[in-house]
Amino acid sequence: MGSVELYNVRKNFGSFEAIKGVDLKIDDGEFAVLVGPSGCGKSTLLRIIAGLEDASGGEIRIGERPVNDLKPRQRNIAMVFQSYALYPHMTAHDNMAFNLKLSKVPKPGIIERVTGTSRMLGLEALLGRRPGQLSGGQRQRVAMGRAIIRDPAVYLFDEPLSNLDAKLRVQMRGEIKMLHQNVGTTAIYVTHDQIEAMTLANRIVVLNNGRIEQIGSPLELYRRPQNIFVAGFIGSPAMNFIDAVTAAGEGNRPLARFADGTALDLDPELSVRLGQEVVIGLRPENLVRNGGGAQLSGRVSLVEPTGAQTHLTAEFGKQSLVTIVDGSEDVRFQEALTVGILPEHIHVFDKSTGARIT
Amino acid sequence: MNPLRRINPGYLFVFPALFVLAAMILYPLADTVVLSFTDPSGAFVGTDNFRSVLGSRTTPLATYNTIYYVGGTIIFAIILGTIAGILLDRQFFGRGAVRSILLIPWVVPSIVAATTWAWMFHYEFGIINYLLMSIGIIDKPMGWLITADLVKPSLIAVDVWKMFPFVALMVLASLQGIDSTLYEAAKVDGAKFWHEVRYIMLPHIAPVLASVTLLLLIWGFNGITIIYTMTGGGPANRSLILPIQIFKEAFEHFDFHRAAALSLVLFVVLFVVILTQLAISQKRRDSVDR
Amino acid sequence: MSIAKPRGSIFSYVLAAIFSVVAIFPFLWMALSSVKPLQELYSVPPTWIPSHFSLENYVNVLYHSNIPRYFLNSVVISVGSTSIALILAILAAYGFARFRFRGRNALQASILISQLLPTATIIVPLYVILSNLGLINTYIGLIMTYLIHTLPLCVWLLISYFRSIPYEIEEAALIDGASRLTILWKIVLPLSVPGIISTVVYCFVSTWNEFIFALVFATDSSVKTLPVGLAEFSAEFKTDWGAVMAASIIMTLPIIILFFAIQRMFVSGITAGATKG
Repeated sequence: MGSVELYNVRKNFGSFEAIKGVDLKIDDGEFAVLVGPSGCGKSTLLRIIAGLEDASGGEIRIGERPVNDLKPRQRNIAMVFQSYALYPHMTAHDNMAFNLKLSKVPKPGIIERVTGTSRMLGLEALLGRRPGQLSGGQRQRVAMGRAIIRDPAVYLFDEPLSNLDAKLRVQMRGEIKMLHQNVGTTAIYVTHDQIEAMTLANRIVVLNNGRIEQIGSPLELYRRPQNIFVAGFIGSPAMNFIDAVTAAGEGNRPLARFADGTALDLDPELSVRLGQEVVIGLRPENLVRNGGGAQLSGRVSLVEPTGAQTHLTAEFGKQSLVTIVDGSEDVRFQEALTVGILPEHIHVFDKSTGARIT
Repeated sequence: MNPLRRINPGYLFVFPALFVLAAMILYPLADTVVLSFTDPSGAFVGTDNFRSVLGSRTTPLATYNTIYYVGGTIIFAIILGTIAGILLDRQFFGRGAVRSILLIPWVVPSIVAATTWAWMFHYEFGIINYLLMSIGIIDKPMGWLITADLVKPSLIAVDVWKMFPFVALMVLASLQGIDSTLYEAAKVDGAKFWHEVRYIMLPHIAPVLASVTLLLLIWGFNGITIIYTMTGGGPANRSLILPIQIFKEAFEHFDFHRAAALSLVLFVVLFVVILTQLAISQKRRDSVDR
Repeated sequence: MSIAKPRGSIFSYVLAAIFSVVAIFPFLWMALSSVKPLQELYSVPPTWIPSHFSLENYVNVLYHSNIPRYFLNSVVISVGSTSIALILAILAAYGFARFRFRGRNALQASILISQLLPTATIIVPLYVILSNLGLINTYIGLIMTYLIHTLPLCVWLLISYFRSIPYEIEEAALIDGASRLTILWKIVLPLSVPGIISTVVYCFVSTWNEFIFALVFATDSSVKTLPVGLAEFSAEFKTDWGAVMAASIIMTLPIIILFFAIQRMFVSGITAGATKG
């Protein structure tokens, strides 16, 4: 059984609190991604699960067994490192076989498993080479092979793709996902790249400053971010944020008024008080050129084509907002631009707590 | 839980070496202190040994000789070593060969350096007298190791010959750490070679030179071998340095207690010098904030 | 190697030539003197190239002196001391490089400082201790005292080597189920071979060349080492300079060969240890 449970896990480095009490339950077979900005504690949390760091407090269970006092090798886990951490003086074969040798698996068994794993990863021709003779992507595969061959209860990935170039990263991302779908072993994956998180995860855990900000499926996080941090972290280009104050509009419907006087109608179901300071979040892809809903008019100040899409920055009154239009549209610097936003795409957060208002 | 697990394994790894070093260094050091305050019967004699050895006529002379010899070696070894290091950092045909050749003096055992140079300094048959006379620098043979005024400079020459390659290597290693774009930037700014030396190389190697100076100082105080075998401290104690004085007190006059007192004084002085040097370089490092 | 390095001028070549001649001349002169017959050695003016090539000095040294015995003693003592220093230093350096424990920095610094201790300050009590233990004039006595010189430097060199190995590799091994000793033996040591080799050479050479301790602690010809033998050779009645030069060559050759065999490794090892320390 490969479930992983954390109960009030804490970690201090001297007086610095890296992890401030994390509760988390990852079910057997899940692919959980820990995501957050650098320094948020995601790698530390993974290393605590691996047993490379001792927790300062709390309990860790793997497969329902408390593992706080167990060494890494007793926890039945495998880990893929950011730098791959292959043994430079051993061949690809020996790198993968090292664990099996240490656990005294008989030689024929080792050969059989190395062969099987390397076939799965397309490494058969490279088994005799040392890491120095392998390309980045091949090293990455050997590192994966070293983890897979053990058939552990849990896979731990520490930013395994960040040393690869963009194209290879996308390819390996796909391979990792397929691999997980095939073997179905619990995986915990750390990354700072929210696209990697979105594409790989069954469940994303967003961390910030040593705390969990939100746990949920990728689309939950995208559609209903629970606070400003998650809203800003998930999605690219990032969500636009505008400070506003709520007021009563026509027929007592609530509206949000920006500093320059522009007002946006809000969903009447929202539990806002009048005069409450809020932050309005608008995703660039929801600001549709000539679309329906509330209308905003402004002037284009920056045009950034990316091919399929073009990112536009435009000044709407005093707000500078990013929007996305199709790459085929011809938009010029200083051109007038009108966008529409549907009420269900308007995210409202309390300004003082940062929490979503529902 | 296994009780061994509660001991940090780091201690288990470092313990054997630390134990041996403590037994071989700390214990004798403590013993030096005991010896220096006692007489051969083991009775406590206060500062008698110190007064006797510091009051002796040889001590001021030996102190002067030590400063002269160690100071002279450091100055010339640093200057020549820095020049050689800068030279080796440049690209020229045969650079690798020159670097290997420059290693020779450092690699040759001190005792061999001493015997070879003693032979070269030989009054009658020495190559040095012959060479200097044939190019007209001197008109009659010199007794390099037996003339009071010549013995220290001659010994310094030998020590510098032995030590400058080490300085050169350290300077070279440090120079190779300079980002070459820095030279390119300086060239664009119109720098001549001398400017590169003055404004790029010397500031960069300064910390290395500081630690090399410290090492040369310590080695100077350990460097009994060359002087002891070439002159034995003579003539008339003109090349007697403090470590040799200690050695002679102990193993020629068999006065262990005076020897211990003198070693203790030497140790304390040297320790203070080293700490000062380390503190200064630490402060400088902090102020540069690297 | 960068392309932008300043190129050498005529001046560089002249300077390089001067330095090279100064550095190699005494060594050459030693070699030349060792193959000159007696009357040529003591001729005025001296000859540059021996007019009669003669091996009589070597014959004297090898068959009519104690030098071969001293050579053997030197080998035993250097190998013994180097082996012990290496084993202790590997363990200690790994402990310092990879574990955090209370007092680590202070202990590490004290190892460095112990290397700065002048020999003269401890030679007297060491003599007393060794004679109380009956270790004067024994191999083991010199082997142990040489640790004073070699152990601190070995620890220091190896710490910087071990630190240069990415720690993630060791963590990967921990997860693969290796114990600390297994990691040291199967991962760290194979990756530090150049460092180990230069450390071994450094130890071997410094024990091979050591003079003062040997002079004091080995007075019997059954344990005397080459440096002491050489010194006594040149002091014994009237110095036979030809034999001294031949003995010097015999003593220096193993060292020179060792050095140039591993020169590149050695130079980078010493300078790395020193500049990082």
